[in-house]
Amino acid sequence: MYRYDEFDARFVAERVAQFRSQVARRLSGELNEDQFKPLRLMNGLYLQLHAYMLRIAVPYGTLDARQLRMLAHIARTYDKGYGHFTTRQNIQFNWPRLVDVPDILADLATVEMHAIQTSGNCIRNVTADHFAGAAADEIEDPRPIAEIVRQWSSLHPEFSFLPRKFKIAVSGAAHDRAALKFHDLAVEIVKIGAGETGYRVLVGGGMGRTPYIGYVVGEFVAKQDILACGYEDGTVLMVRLNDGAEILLRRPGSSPTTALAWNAKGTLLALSDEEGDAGIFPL
Amino acid sequence: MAQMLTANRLKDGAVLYWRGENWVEALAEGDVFAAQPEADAALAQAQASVAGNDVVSPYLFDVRDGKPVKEREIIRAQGPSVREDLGKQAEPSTSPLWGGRKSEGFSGGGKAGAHAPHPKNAPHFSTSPQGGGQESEPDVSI
Repeated sequence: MYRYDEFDARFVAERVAQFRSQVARRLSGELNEDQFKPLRLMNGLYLQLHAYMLRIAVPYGTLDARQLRMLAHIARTYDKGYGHFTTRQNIQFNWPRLVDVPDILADLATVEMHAIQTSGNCIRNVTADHFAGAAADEIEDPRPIAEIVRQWSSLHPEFSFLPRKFKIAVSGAAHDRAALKFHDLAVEIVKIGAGETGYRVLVGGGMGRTPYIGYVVGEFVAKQDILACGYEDGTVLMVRLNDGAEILLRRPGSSPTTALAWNAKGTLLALSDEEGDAGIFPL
Repeated sequence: MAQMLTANRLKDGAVLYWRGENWVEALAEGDVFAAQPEADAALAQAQASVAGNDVVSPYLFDVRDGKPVKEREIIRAQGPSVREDLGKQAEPSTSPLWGGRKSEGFSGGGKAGAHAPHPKNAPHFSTSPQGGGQESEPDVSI
């Protein structure tokens, strides 16, 4: 399971402080509802029939005991003793008071949780098989891909103001427990015969008012085999993901690598370093 | 059709109903407006509590014999249909007059309470929009 680094922790703490200030300004009248609504929706806070509703992200449905205990604490302290786990593996509290929400978000931040991107027209929390890592019919654990998607889509400026919400699911098992075909984009880990694993890619599905079943755009997409990585000491490596084999492109000892880029076909790798050296390697 | 005026309280989101010049929590205690002009007047008057940051997005909804016509308003008045132990239906002081959604034979006047609705329920056909101001998504649970 992913653990926050210092930047994640600082960002989430800053967001909590911002929202605390926004709530205070709303209550004092400095912000009116039209101004405040987009701000609260960015933090997963809806105003529904009976009360406010706070939707908290549970990335690909994975919680540790510490986080589960914190959710229970929030349910007892600020809500009516329960929460509602959603189809897409988030959790909603249905009776929070607006005045308490900054404290709830602060409590969540202590266990590396938040309510960012749980509402609004952005890329929502990634869904995976809830038996991921423990399913007998699993080809591969879907959570590494789900985590890569989560990192890429979190606060991505190009995907924060979409015309519609956008949902992604990943599954690594023969039996679909992630409702792949009802997602805008879905990745299914599949195996050809007894050998190679790759991805079946589906697009266009959706739930809601007009449910739509997604269709397959790639029956078998081979894994991107090779990853290039550059280091501070100037080392540049290519790593084959299937078996972990490494190829050294540049020895350690030169200045820090500043950029790496593949051409579209994945046949050429360009690199540069801090002293202005650059080069192109054919694969 | 007769109408009532509702909103959500800003600080905690609670469902409120307009009575006199203020808000109450129980639908049974709210004013029922038989005619459009008095409904519109109440809605206009309620804008002060929007400006005062007490409530969010007040609107009028249709009632017949003191009971909301739309399911949405029945749910707002009572509480969640899947948790009858929660919400206004679980609190005697705010539970609605018509006796809850289990009640079959609704007789029109409701049971006697401290705050009976206005008797003037003359039919009036309103074209004012119902609901609104709710950002719940179509598939809100996911």
